[in-house]
Amino acid sequence: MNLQKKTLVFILFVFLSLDKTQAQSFSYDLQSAALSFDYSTLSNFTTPRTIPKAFTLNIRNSNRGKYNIFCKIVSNSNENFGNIPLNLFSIKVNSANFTITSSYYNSTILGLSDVLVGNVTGRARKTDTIFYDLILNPLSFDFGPDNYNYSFIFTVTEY
Amino acid sequence: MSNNKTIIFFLLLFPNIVLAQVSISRTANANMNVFSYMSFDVTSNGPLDFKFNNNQQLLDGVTLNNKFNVNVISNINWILNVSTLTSNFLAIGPQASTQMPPDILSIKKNTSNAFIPLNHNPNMVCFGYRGDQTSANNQFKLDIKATPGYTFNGGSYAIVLIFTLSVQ
Repeated sequence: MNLQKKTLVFILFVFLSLDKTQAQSFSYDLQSAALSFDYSTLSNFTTPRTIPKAFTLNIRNSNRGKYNIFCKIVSNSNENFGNIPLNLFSIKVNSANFTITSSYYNSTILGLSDVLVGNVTGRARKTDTIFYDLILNPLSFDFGPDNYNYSFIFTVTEY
Repeated sequence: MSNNKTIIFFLLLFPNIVLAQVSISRTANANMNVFSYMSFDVTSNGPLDFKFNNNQQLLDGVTLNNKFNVNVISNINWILNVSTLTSNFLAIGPQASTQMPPDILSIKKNTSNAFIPLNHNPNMVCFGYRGDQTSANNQFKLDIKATPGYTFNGGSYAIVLIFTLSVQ
C-alpha cells in the first residue's frame, strides 16, 4: 500500500468515525396518566370526557429527524371485542415543545388498526415532547355493566 | 485523485443510507368500569281522572288510552312494574266506600291486548332490553282502565300509583 492509499484509508476512517460520533439512535418513551374510567352517571355515558395530557411521548431523534406516530387500541377483556364500541376513544395533540402540524390538534378516533396521529419532520438530533389528550366518547347503553380493559399501542416509525 | 474524492464522498454518505428504519411500539393500559345504570320517567298526558256517567261505563269500564308516556334508559335488561301505595283507594266524602281495592284499575302497554290489574304488590306491566329511549321498546305509552262495577258507592276516590323499574 503506497502512501496515497494509506492517507485515503485514514481519512475515510476519520470521517466515518466522525459520522458515527455525530449519529444518535432513535428512541422514545411513553408515559401515561392514570387511565381508569368509571361510567356510573348519565353524563358519564352521554357526554364526552377529555383527559388532558393523558399520554406523553418523549422522542429522541436520530440524524433523520422524521417520524410518524401511529396509535391503535386492543382489548384485553374477555369480552368478545365485537361487543365493545370501537369509536369509544379519540386522541389529539394537546401541545408539543415544537411546532406540529395543526391537523393533529383535531381529535382522531382510534380503532383496531394503526391510525396516524402525528407526522414530524426536521427534528434531527432533537428531543421532542408531545402531549396527547384522550377523549372518551359517549358510551352507548347497549353495552352491559362490566370491567373493560384496553391497551393503547403507540408506534413511532422513523423514516 | 478525482476518483478517490468520489469514493470518499459516497462512503461518507453510506452510514446514513444504511441506517435501518426504526419502528418502536409502546403500550399504555386503560381500565373502564361500566356500572349498572337504570333510569326512567313516566309522565301523564293530562289529569288522570275517570268519570262514570252511566251504568254501562261502570260495568264495562272507562279506558284512557296513551295516558302515560314512559322513557327508559338502561344498560341492563329491565322490567317495569306497577303497584299502588295503599291496599285500597282513599275514599273521599261520606258516601264513598272505604274498601275499594286497586284491582278495579288495570294497565297495559298500548301495543298489548292484556290489561294487568293493579295491586298493592308490584305487577309486571312490560319488559325491555338495554338501550336508551331511542332503542326499540324503550319509549312507549300505557293505557289505563277503571272498572269499578256496581259494588261500590258513588263518590270520589284516589290512589297513588308506583312505577318501578327493575332488573330482569
